[in-house]
Amino acid sequence: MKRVGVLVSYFSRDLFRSWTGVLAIAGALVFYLVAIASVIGDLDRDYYALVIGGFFGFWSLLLTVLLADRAHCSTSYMILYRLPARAAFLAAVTLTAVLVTGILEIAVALFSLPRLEAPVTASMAMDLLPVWVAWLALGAGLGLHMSELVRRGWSRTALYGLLALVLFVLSERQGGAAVGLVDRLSWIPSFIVDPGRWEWLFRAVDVLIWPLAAAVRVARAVPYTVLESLSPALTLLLAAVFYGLAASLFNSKDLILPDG
Amino acid sequence: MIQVSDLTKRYGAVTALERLSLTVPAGTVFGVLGPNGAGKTTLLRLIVGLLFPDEGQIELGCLRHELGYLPERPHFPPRFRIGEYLRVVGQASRLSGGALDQAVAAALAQTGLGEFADQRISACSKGMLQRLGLAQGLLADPDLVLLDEPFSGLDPAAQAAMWALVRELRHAGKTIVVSTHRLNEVSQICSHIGILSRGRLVRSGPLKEVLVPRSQVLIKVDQLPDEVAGQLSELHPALRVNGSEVLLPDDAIRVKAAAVRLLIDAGVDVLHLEQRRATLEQVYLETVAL
Repeated sequence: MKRVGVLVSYFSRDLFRSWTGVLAIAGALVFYLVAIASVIGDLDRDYYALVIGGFFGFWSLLLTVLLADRAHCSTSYMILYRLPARAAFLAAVTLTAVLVTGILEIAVALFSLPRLEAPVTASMAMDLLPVWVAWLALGAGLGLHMSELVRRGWSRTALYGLLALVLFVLSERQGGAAVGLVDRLSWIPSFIVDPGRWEWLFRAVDVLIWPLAAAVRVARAVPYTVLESLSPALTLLLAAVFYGLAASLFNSKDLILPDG
Repeated sequence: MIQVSDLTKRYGAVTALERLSLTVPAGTVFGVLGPNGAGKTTLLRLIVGLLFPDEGQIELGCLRHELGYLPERPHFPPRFRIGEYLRVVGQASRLSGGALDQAVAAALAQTGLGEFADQRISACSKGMLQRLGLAQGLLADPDLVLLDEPFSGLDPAAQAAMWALVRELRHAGKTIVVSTHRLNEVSQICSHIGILSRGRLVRSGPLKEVLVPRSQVLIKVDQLPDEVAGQLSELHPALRVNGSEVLLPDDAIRVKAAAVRLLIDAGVDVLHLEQRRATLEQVYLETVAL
């Protein structure tokens, strides 16, 4: 853990001495000016929770990709060879992205408070923070797989292909259940036989997406169930699965890093 | 000590190392020699753990993350200061407090970078970067140090300084593996060598056994009739005739007197006779051409 802390400090210093660090801050500033400051009238709670949380979840993904690609160069050899486990290196990249984005998110959230239509209560903060943290972690977990540092063979294509499939199935589900998908694929003879055979896929997608959908309910000013209140933890679990997969790819990868 | 057994590494269809086995005894300076593309860097990266072998295994006499390593053409984060960077890598090696301060100061002093601790890495010369690379490798006082082409791109003075450092490490009893092309220095410092060629270990062992400097005799004559040239070739199969020159390699030196006598008896004017020792480079080139 101490090594991870040292590396987080190293990556942070390296980031903020580069244009990537300037980009991270500038992006947050532009977001604030466009999505918060320029909005006419007061912000409602749902807008505040979802737009800020959603943007910085994406920003966490982007910063993870940028940080991982900065680390994917031969300057990292001197760090990597002295680590008993490579996972510490990846954990540091992820944690740096989450911390930096988290700090930017808190700053934007605090600056946006005066624009809210109603003052923030402790209960609102308790609802929002776990959801935002979970989205930051999920963004970072997904971002790792976009980077060259983690990619092995077709891993990136496979993962993002799977995510595209999930989103496609989800869109079909929302647009009229299983029939829409089956109709589109009806040119394949086996699909005509039994449309119900793909029900398991829709259920699997529902299970995967549920934590995210439930977290949106938690973040919004709508009543949510006890089960839904666990959604940030489940989203974190999903992020941990993505991180674990990335660590497993990185641990057994041949590291031939470009000069940089 | 390093024990490498049946090591094979492939990059797609290219075999970088093939069934390589070698032993680096503890406390020795082991030179890894070989032309470009022979597999030297791959071997060192496999030992360090940056690459994984397809077959075979590597056993080290220390924990892998406790060795010291200088990569080929080391790069550093340019916006860090030398001392600051060494503190980071020292902390990554679990040094802290007074031990970290001492280790950084010692590494800076050992590599002659003491007065440059506050200098930005982006302002360092090639020689300074190479010394910084060595400093980070020595920071945690490792028993095993791997140096990948530590002299490439250095001017003669910097090279001499680097060799002096390697000598110091040898006297301190470290096990050092150094990959290089510089045979003359290798012959002065390395106790053992391994010669790689096309991914295979061609020779390995104590330097004096592997690279034995050999002699050869060169005879220059005025004009050499074909008939006499034929008679000379019959003296020894290794003897070579090239125009007006007769070359007797190490194996054929014992027929030197007979060759000279044959030339004089045949009335050929012997203009020049010279016995010379083959350089290490020549022996090395013959070895990698095997």
